[in-house]
Amino acid sequence: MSEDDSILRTVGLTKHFGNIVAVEDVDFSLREGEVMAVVGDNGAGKSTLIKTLCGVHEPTSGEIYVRDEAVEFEDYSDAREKGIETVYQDLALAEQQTVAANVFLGHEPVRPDFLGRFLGIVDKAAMRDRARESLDRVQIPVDPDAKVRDLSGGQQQAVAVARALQSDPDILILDEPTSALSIEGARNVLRVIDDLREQGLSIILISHNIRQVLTIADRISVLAQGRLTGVRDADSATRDEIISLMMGADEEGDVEEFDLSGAEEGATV
Amino acid sequence: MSTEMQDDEATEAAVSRGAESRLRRLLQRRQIGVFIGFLLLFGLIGVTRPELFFSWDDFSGILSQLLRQAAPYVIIGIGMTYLMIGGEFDLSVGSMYAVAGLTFAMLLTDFQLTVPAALAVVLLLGAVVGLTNGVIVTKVGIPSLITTIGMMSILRGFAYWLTTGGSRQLPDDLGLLELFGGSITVAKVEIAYMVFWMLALIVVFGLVLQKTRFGHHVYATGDDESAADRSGIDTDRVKIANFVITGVVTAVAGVLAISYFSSMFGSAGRGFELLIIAAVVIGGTNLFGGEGSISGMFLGSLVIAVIPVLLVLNGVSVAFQETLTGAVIIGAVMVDIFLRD
Ligand SMILES: Nc1ncnc2c1ncn2[C@@H]1O[C@H](COP(=O)(O)OP(=O)(O)O)[C@@H](O)[C@H]1O
Ligand SMILES: [Mg+2]
Repeated sequence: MSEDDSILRTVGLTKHFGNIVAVEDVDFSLREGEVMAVVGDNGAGKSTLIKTLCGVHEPTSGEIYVRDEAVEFEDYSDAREKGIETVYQDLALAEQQTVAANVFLGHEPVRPDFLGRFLGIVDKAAMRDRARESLDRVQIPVDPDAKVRDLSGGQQQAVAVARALQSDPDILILDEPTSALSIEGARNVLRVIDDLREQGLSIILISHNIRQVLTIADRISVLAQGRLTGVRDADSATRDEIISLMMGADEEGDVEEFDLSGAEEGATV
Repeated sequence: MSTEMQDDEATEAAVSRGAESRLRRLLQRRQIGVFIGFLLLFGLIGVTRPELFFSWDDFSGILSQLLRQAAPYVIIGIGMTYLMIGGEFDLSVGSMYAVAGLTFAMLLTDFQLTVPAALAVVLLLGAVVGLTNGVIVTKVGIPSLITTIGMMSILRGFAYWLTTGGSRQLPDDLGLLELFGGSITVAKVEIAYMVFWMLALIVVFGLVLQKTRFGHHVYATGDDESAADRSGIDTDRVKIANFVITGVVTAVAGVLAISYFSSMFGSAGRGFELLIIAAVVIGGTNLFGGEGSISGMFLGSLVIAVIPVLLVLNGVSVAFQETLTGAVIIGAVMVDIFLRD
C-alpha cells in the first residue's frame, strides 16, 4: 500500500455523476512539501478529483489516505480537520463583505472578555490586524477594510489564499488559481505558491497551463477523460510529452492524431 | 470584472485604497437620501395643508400619528431586515401581526391568563410560526415566496376565526398592559410606549447585527450562500434563526398594537408585508441579500408611514390611497435598483 513518503494518496479513486464518468480509477499521490500540479483539458476531471479530496464530493469508490490513515470526508470541515484547505475555482468569497470578514468567514475571532465570548462579539480590531498579517504572508497588498467586490482578480485570489491559510493547513489545494488573472496577477500567485512551499506546505495546483506548471511544480499529474495518464517530474518532462498525456496517451503509447493548436491554446492562457 | 483583472499592481492598490472611503460615502448618501425623501414627503403636507403645519396643535397631532403608524413597520421591519440581508423574506408577517394581537386578547379574556403569561405564549407562537417557515424553506426546500404566502393565508384564516369576522377587545382593567399600550405626551406630541419599545428593539437587534458573529453570518449567508456554507457557516440555521426573529418581533408588534388601540380587527395588518419589504429596500437593503442596515430600514419605514398621512390629510379616497401607495413603492424600488448599477 504505502509506496512512498506521501502525505495524501488515493487508491482507485472513482467518481461518477449518474452515467457521467468524471474520475475513473485514479491513484494519485502528493509528497510532503512538494508542489504537485494536476493538468488536463477542460472536463478532464481535475476539479472533481480535488473536490473528493476536500470533502465536497463523496467518491463513488476508491480510498483516500492522509498520512497512511484511511479517511472518509462527509464535508469540507472533515477535510479541514485533517489539515486540507482548498482555494476553490470560484474563490467562494462573500463579495459585498470586507476583506477582513472574508479572511475569517465562519471563524470570526471574538472579544476575549466574558461578555464577548458569551455573546459572540466579533473582535473587529483583532480581525483586521490578523487579516493584514495573513495578507502580508502572501505579500499582496490589500486593505482589510476594502470590500472584496472592489478588488482586482489577483487581490481576490490573495484573499482566498489568506483565508485558506487561517487554519494552518498542511495541504493546500488551489483550483485554477491563475486562469482568470492578468499575467502580472498570475506571476504574483505563483510567487505565493513558491513561498508557501518554502514554508513547508504540500500543495496541489490545478492548472491547464503547461508552461506555468513546468516552471513552478515539482511533479505533474496528467488527467485525461477522468483517468490518470501519467505522473512526471517537472525537471525532466517536456511540454510535448505532457501534451500527449493530456490527449489521452498511456504511459508508453503515443497518440496518433492530436490537435496541437487546441492544446497550445490551453497552454498559453 | 474582466477589465479590473487587466489592471496592474499599481492601480490594484489604488482601487483598494479608494474603495473604503468611496463606499462609506455611498452608504452615507443612501441614509441621507432616504431622510431627504422623507422630509420632502413630510414637507408636502405643509405645502398642501399649510394651516396644519403652522398650528402646533395640529402639527403635534401629525407627528404623533406618524410615530404610531411607523412603529409597527419598524418593529416587524427589524426581522425583515435580518431575513432580507440573509437572502429570504416573509410574506406572513401581516397575518402574524393580527394573530398575535388577537391571541393575546383571547388569552387575557377567554382564558383569564395574566399579562406575562399571555405575552409568553404569544411570543412563543411567533417563534413557532417563524421556525415552521424557516424549516420548510431551508430543509424541505420550498421557496419562501410559496411557503410564506401559504403561512399568510393560514394565519389570516386563524385571525378571522378568532374574531368571527369582527374584532376583539382587550379587558381594560389590567394595570400591566399600560406598559405596552400607554403613552406620554411631550409638548403635545403623544408618544406611545410602543415607540420606546421600538427604539429598544432597534438598539438591541442593531447591535447584534453589526457586532456579533451571528450578524456576520447573516450578511455572508445572503451574500453568497455557497461560499458561506463552504466556510463552515450553517446557512440553514442562520436562515431559520432569521425567520424565528421575524416571527417573534412581529408578535411583539401585534401585542403592542392591540394594547395601544385596545381592540383589533381580524383584517389587521393586511398589506403590511409589502409595505415593510418596501421600507427595508428603500432603506438600502439589497433585494438579493448581503447588505443592508436597521437604521436604513427605520428611515424607509418613516417614508412608508408618511405617505398615508399625507394622503388622508388631503382627502384622498381609501381606494385610491392603496393604488397610489403601491405605485410609490414600485417607483421607490425601481429607483433603488437604478441607483445600484
Ligand atoms: N456536479 C456534477 N454533476 C454532473 N457532472 C459533473 C459534475 N461536476 C463535474 N461533472 C462532469 O465531470 C466531468 C469532469 O469535470 P471537472 O472535474 O469539472 O473537469 P475539469 O475541472 O478538469 O475541467 C465533466 O464532464 C463534467 O461535466
Ligand atoms: Mg475545473
